[in-house]
Amino acid sequence: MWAKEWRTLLLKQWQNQRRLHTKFIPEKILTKENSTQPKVVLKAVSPLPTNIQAWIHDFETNTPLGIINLDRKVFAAPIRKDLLQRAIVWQRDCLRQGTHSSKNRSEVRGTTRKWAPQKGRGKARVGSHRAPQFRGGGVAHGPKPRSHASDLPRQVQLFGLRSALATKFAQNQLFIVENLKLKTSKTRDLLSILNRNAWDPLADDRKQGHSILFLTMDHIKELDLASRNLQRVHVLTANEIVETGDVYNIMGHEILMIDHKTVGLLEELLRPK
Amino acid sequence: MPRFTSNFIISLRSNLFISSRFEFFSRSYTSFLQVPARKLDLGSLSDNSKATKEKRRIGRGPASGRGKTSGRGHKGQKARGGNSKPRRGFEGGQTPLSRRFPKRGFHNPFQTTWAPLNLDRLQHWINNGRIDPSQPITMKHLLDTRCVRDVKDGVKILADGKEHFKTPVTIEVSRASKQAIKTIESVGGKITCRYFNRLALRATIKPEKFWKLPKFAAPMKQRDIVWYSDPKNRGYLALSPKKDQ
Repeated sequence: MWAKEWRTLLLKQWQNQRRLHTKFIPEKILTKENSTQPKVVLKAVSPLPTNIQAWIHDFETNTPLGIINLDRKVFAAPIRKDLLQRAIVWQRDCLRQGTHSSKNRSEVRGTTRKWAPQKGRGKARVGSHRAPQFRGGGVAHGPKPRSHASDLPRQVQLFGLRSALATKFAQNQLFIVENLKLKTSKTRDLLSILNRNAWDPLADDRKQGHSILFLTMDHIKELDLASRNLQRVHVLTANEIVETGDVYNIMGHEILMIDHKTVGLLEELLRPK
Repeated sequence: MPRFTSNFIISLRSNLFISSRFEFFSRSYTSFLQVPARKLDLGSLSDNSKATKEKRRIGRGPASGRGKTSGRGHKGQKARGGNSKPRRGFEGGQTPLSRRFPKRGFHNPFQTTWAPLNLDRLQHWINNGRIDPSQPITMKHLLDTRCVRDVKDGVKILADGKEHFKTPVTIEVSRASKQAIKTIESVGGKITCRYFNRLALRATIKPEKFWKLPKFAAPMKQRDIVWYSDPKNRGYLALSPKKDQ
């Protein structure tokens, strides 16, 4: 008895919730020529807005120029700490050189002559003196050069990228800049801009300044040259990041600065299909 | 100048209605602009607990639970190393079936099997509206509409029921019979036969599986080059396919 009533109650509650989430949209659908009445199709509509908003800044003066709409599915994707971790571990696995090496008993220099007679010594029997139990002997099961690369599904890589962008947005570490073109290719000029806008990579009040990652459509010559000698400033293109699933660089830099044009490209590449 | 401008604040302000109801639908809004409780950077990431299984370390002392006998029990065939199931086809030492009788026949590594498609079947699919004849037809369309069940090494068009075939189509497949070419072109259609290697075939059938579509390879074997550059076969390498007509 009780169980039944509970079930109906729960059902009602669930239906109410669904009603909040759905809108009824009449939709004209191509039907056969005979029927004149348009068909009405019920469609579940997400109550969430499709876009979120962010400022566009001027790169040189850091003054807000306007507001840009960002795709919610990319820049406000669910922040999955575990997938970020997996993507980064996978990436760092692939980066490992894997050149560690040690010598086993056949590779260690020296003779394999029998070191002591089999019997009559009053001690343990001994063969080659390069066996692993001896000092100066080979290493048993030691490291050998190998690849440490592991696999990660492509969809997880893309999810990782989306959540990395979302974390940067949610933590106010994402800056959208109208233009990343510099007048000169001097490091001094770039540093002065960064200093003026409090994005200082060599700040005084902290032990280490901010690390900055610039994301652009293509490599810009001036920016590349100007940032080349700054240790904490790097420039990458959006295509490079998406193709290689580069979550590590996004999370590893404190500030992520994206070109106005590149935002659209990133959304196009990363939007879940 | 503030150190960080607040993207976040304006996005909250624009969605004030939603953020006030955060508690009601907390589950469905977890994905929506929640600042992580602890600042996420390279130092504070971790996988879910119990996401990965810890490796079993065998023979590392009594406290590990798999010490002395390493979980193999005492003595016997199963306790010794290198003992597993015998190889496939092993008959306990008796001469196995595969070696008892002499070899016979051979395996042709260059064998190709074409998926046949007859013209009446294609016409039936067009009549039912399952294939759009106004667009060029490729093997992807044929497979997607299940006009061909399985594209093996490519589709070959055959001329069964050619008297029923009336629709002009442009079609690109691997091969076609002489009669099929004749009937398609007499109706007013166009056919080209194209060489697909395995990768190219997969790229045509399942383009969504590719991050970047690969280049379609040209045929390397002399036999294929000759076949696909013959205008009689409407090969795509032929210089002037209509010269023959």
